[in-house]
Amino acid sequence: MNAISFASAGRWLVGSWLLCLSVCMPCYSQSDVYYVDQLWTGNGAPIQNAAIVVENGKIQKVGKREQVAAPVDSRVHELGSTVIIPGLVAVESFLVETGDEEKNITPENRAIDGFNFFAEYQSLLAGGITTVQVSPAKSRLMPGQGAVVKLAGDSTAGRTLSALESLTVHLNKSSLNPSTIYEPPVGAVSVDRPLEPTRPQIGASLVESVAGLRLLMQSLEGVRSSSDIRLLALSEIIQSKRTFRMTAESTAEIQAAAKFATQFDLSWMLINPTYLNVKNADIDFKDARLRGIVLNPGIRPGEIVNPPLLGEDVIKPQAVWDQAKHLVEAGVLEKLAIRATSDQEIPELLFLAKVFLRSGLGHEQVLQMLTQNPAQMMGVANRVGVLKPGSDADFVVLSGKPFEDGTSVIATYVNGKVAYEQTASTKALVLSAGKVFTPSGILSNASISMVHGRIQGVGSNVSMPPGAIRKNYPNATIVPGFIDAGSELGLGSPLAESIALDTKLGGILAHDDEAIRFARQGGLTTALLSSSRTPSPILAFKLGDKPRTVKEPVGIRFELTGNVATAEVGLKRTLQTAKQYDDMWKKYEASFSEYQSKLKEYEVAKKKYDADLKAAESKKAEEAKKAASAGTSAPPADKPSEPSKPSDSTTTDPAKSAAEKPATDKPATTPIKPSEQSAAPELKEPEKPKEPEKPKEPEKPKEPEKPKEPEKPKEPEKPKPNASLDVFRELLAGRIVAVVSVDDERAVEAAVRVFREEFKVPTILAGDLPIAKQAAVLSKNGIQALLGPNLFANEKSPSANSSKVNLPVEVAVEAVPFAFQSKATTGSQQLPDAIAYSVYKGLGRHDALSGLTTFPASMFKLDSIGSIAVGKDADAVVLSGDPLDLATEVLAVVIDGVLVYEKNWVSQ
Amino acid sequence: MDHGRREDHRNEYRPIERPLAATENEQPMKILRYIFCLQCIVAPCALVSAADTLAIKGAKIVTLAGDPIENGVIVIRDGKIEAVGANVSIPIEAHVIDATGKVVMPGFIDAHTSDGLNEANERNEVVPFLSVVDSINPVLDYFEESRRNGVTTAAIVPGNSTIIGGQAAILKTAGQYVDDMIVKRNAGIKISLRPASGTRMSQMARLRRELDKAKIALEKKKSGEEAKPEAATPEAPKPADTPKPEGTPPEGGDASAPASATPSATDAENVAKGTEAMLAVIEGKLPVFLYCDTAMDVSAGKQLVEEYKLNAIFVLGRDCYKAAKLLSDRKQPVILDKNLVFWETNPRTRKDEKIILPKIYREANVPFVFQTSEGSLRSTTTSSSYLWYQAAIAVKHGTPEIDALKSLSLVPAQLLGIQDVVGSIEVGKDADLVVLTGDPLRLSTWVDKTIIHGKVVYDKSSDQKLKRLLSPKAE
Amino acid sequence: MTVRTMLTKHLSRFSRVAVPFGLLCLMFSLTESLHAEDTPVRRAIRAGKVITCAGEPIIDGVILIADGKIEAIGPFGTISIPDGCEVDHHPDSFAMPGLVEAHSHVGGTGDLNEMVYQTNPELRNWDQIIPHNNQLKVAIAGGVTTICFIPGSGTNMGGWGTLMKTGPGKLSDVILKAPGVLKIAQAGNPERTGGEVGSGRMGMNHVIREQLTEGMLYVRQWDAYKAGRIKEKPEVNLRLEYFKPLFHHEIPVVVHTQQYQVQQSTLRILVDEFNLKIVIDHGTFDAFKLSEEVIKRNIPVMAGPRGFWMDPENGQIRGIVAEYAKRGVIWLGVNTDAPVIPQEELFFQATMAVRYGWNEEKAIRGITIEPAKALMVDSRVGSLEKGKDADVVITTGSIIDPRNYVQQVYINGKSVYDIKKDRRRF
Repeated sequence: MNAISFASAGRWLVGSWLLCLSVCMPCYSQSDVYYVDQLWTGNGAPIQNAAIVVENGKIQKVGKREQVAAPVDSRVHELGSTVIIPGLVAVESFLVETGDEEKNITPENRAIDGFNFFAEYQSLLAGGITTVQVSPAKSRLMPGQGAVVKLAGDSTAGRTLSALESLTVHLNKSSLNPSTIYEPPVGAVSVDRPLEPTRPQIGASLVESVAGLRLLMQSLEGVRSSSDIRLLALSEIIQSKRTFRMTAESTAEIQAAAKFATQFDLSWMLINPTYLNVKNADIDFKDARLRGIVLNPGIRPGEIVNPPLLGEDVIKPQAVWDQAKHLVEAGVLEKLAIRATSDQEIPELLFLAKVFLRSGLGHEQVLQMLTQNPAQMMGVANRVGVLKPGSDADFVVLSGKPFEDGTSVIATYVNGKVAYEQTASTKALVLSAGKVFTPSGILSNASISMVHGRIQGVGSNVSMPPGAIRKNYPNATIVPGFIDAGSELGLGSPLAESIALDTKLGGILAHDDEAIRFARQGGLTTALLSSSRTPSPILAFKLGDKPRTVKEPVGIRFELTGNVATAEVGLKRTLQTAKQYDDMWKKYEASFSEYQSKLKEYEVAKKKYDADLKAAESKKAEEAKKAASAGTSAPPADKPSEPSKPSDSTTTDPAKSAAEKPATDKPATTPIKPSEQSAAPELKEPEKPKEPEKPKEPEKPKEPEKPKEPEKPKEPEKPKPNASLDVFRELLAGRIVAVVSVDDERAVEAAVRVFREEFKVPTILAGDLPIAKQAAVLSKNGIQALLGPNLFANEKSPSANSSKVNLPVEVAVEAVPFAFQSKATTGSQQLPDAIAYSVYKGLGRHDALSGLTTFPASMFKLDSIGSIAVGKDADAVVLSGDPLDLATEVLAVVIDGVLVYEKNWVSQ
Repeated sequence: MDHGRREDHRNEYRPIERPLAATENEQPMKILRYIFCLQCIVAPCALVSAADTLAIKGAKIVTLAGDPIENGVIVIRDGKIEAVGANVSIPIEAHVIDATGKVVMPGFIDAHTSDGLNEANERNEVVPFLSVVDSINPVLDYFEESRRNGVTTAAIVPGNSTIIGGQAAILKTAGQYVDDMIVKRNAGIKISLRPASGTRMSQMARLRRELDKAKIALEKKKSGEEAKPEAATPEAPKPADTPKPEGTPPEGGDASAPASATPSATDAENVAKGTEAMLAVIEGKLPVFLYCDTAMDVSAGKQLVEEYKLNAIFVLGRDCYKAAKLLSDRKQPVILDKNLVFWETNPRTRKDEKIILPKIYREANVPFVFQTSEGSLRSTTTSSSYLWYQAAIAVKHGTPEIDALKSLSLVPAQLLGIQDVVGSIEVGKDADLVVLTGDPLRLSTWVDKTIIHGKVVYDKSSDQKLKRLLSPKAE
Repeated sequence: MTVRTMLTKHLSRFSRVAVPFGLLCLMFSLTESLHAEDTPVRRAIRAGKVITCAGEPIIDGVILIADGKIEAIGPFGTISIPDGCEVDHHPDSFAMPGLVEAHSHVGGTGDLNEMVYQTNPELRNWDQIIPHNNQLKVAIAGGVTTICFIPGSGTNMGGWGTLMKTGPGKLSDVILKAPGVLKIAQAGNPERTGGEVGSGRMGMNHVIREQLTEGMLYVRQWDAYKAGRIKEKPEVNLRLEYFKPLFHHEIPVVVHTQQYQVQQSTLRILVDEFNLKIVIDHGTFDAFKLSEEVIKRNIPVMAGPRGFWMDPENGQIRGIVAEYAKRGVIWLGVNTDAPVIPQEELFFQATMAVRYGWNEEKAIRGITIEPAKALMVDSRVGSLEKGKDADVVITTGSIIDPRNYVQQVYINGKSVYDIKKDRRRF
């Protein structure tokens, strides 16, 4: 009758999950359909182009895409080039509350009581595990009954697949030599109710353990009347024919387990049979009572462990994968399951399982050992393990085929709900595609690995950075991120005010600008920004969520429009002032370097002089020895240190003012400071030499003269830094470019005269028809072209019919490098499409692509972008087909290694 | 009822020498009463001498039985409420407390505490036969502090470091002798799901074993009773027995003795094994204070309750909020952890989240009551764990004020099954009242007087300890 | 306060022997000890002042002794002293009853605790008595003539104690009453740490209750049989035999109980539930707050050995006995828990109690007649009355006054200590 009460316990547990399923049913009955390149059901070969329909957390249909009819109004999920496998079933774990339990035999304990449904199991779900068996303990002879539970779900009862799945028995060493037990009786101890002495437990040796178990089994006769909780529990287990999971590693243990099972006609599982010799073992593997054999690869991912030698031959009769092979040959594939050495390794089951590929087992066979088989041998196959209609919608979305290197879990679904999802890592990303455009040509089926926003590897076999997200676009093309060489993005609105040339636009870029997010969907990753009022500095920045300055300024924008003559004169004047300023500085720098060299000489001399001085002093000291005078030796002691101070201050200071100040500082602070600082040393330098005059020595007077000379060249020459003019110095030095807008052919010539012939600065002409007309001039003078927004112009010809001129082609044929500008905000997105038209009209696709990528990068000296090569910024565009083809769509955009746009999977 | 009997011999002077015969026959029965009496007797306390008549006038009376009465009068006679209302005439002989401008509420009820005990738990983890009454210490701070904070009734329950921790008792918080304070002697039994030792698995296993044993014993007993109905002897009053009328003389004389000799021995055995108590638990006659430490205990506890049809009162640790939904189908209120608001790091998002228990349970529509933490000065006077403050917190987070007030008195009274005696200001109930200086739940409000059985057991004006605490100058 | 710790070595040394042997001893000791003295001796003691502890003191009183008993007592002249009767005259000394110790462990060998079981009703301590041992010799010099020799408080029920005289003689001579008392310890020392029920007060009280119930049922069985209510003779259970005198109210329980809650349990369980005769030994700490309940039940309190309690509320020192007295407890005395306080210093316990505010006359009764009544031997000792044992102490003045000292001590009429011959012993 006690047994009954136990049984009833089992009953209600089962009963209540049924009940609870109805509870956890979502009220809506909308269904989801997932389309995927490949789907593994858990038994048999994978299905290509598969579809799976899920409703109310259950699988409705599975099959080939075309054969499965998705219910109307069901949500469609295009999982693209991913792979779906069933949620993995961990055949053994110990995810129970641990605590000190000293009794060696406690069949009454239930792991289900120790499993915390409310804990987080993300790490397991991230490994694709959705169902686990929990055993009550790793050690102890008979620690109790295990359960099978799901790692996610709505109700605890709903997650309980089997509350009382099996009885765990550890015949291996872990259960030997248990502690002794002391249990005081309840109530007062007295002569009539004496204290029970501390008593030893069985399990000193395998023999004793097995003998003890036998006795236990035999004493089950007429147990109902007994009040021994262990016997009651055990008899209930026997009655309900629950599985015995027997851990047995050594040959002896394995034999003992098998004998024990057969003697008492138990249904059983063999766990960890390390030394199992399938051929010679005296076990009928086909026997239905043997529910399963759980093999342990015995490796720890990325770790070295010392496998225990179980007092057997060092050479195991069979390696674990051979055991598997022979067992498969013995025809018991569906009895095989794989367990990890410890709970920490369970998330890596997919990897561990690869061991079994060594013996030539098929991928689907091995996967089956992680899905269908364990589910079956634990009696929960009706709900999990295989993706078939009626089972729980527990499945895993992989980035690639299971067991394939680099495959990662993208998402794990339980009851049709996302239980785990790979979070976008800003750290590392790997793109794979059919075609990849690189400077060294187009690679096919190549990958690009990006780490910390830089390209770390390009090729057909790049190494997977840790924690990298993997994106695979089998039929797609990857090209470098596009550059809009003249957009109005970045500030939220076009910039029309005239701004100082040293203005730093990079600092005021708008974050999370909708326009930017829109524009980059066209594949734009970098944009150049300047004011329409010239002269204006040009900023180059990335179109990431957080816009990032690439370089500022990359150039100065000029205008040579309207009255060309006056405009030309104006420009000349500006440039002349700049030139003077520049010369001034050049001179100063020259004299300064001269001063420095002189200073060096001075220091050498000074050192020599100090040395002599010291020598003299020391002599003096020796003489003064009899009349000990320490005081005199003091002053010279610290002199040598002092002159060195001003000398280094002067070396650093002017250097700074020369090299950096003009480039960076605000004009407000700079004028006084440097002059003072440089003046300061002058005063000090002469005096120091003077002091030493007291000691009578002839050489001194010469020494102080030397340092005076560097003063004169410096004092008058120190120019007043002017920040805006400093920008011109950059231009004149050719470090940045001049971008000149022209709207007239004569303006082109004027530009050539001013910028190329007179001032020889790198020049880019922006405009339309005139540039096309003067393309030859451009190429002759090494000028590049900036085209757009309009790539076509109507040529007024004497004959009434005007013809459309495809500007890029005109320029390209003269071999003038060119870039494109959109002069738009959101419109920037359409730049590629605009170019696509001129490609359609005859512009070479490669030239066109260069005009969006490599040309602007080199024209504006932006070395970090423009092409897909190791070390460059990780900017890339994934295209469905050829670049700059209107038939091609943008699948994804990556900026600085972050996937900023991806064509949404879900579509209605 | 046994209690009632005690009253008799307690009030009249007891001669040292008693006729041996009397002892011989009465003792066993009386003792057995003490030991295994499980019928839940609600007995009046004998704090007041019969003459006392008291009236409180001018106060706003929050009866919790109906609408509040402005400027009402409560008349108390012999420790019970004789009349309450707006225009009740004050009898001439009554002492009068003028509570004009103050608020009177029924005394607060602490639904679950292990304070007032010397040791909360025995080391032995299965002791259903023990009773807190043997460990209650009326001079502990807890009782003084309770009175200071308006708590007039407390369910004192064994601690949570146990499996079956023994029997609880409900007491008034005033009195010098525990038996005088008892409202209900066997008010329930403590079962804890937090492992006292070993694992949750062995905890549950041992628990089930005890419950199964009780099941068997019950069936044995049933069959036994069918066999010989006269087995229900005075020596072994079973819960099933109809309680004897007040002051029935003990069966003495020759007739009963022989019969009494043998069965009472088995009763002694029963005590040792604690089956009597467990039988009552299995029969659902004795409520179970079921302590759940973590959320997983709630689901396990729920299974247990359903499996064994226990009459359970859920006592929840703070982690249990994760399982609040599981409790929503229960009508009975749960007893919340004393920490109603705390921060917790969400393991998934790694973000700190503010957990507000009253909010969570209200949204899961699980009714709840509060418990204080320790009875020490620290907690009840100066920390946030006394009842009215907890109610205030609940109101802050959306509980309607009237519900919060009820959860201080009426709801716990119903939960503990003593609503006929306390829990509201109604005629016939014990005169356990709290006179508050202002609106309840207002921060500036203090307990002005605490009245138990019509006796003022706390008066702020003469509370030297509080003065010392709050105004050092007063020293 | 206990001597448990020093005595827990001898585990279960004779617990099993004790039972059968004990029963034999019981029979003769009960009969024998009634007439301790064989040779009839007549003697008269005449003292300047005789404190009888039964009525007013007698100035220049005479105590006439025959066969170790007091034959007559009264003012000199009212009592005719027969010829040939030797008269000890102490013209300027006090005569008083021999002191009665309510709680002592120095009657014999020091092993007082059997620590194996929680209750040991099968144990009795008169098998370990060493008559007139050294400690008792000194005790006599302190005027102590009767002690309640009891087991320790190592377990909830330590066993049965003996009421014995401190003087010389055979076992049968010194035993006054055996079993004299039952020793019960309710909290503190008997706590169990091994996991048995009884680590706390709930458990210990349960254990005590359970054991008493068992005993009571046994006694009722026999009573029913004796009264002819049941025919078949009950089985003799030596473990439970001594419960008979206990439940027949012939002997009291001496309870190791202190602190409010514990003493409350003492009253609740031993008095309210089992209606036993009890003596509160110790009763220290804040237990005096229970005085009202103690008075209601008319329970004797033999306080000590702690003399005072530090009140944590206000850091005041409270004299234990004084507090009881202040609250109206009359049946009051002190104890030494010897050897915790040397046995001879029983009077000094009273002295200190007086210092803390007890009344001196009550104090003298508190070490003589009150404990005698509490221990239910007041028919034999505790006061100087006709028919009682002639245990007389001659002092230089009120024994409460520390400057006074004991000059001579008579037990059963025999001089057992004379400072002139024996010198001061402490």
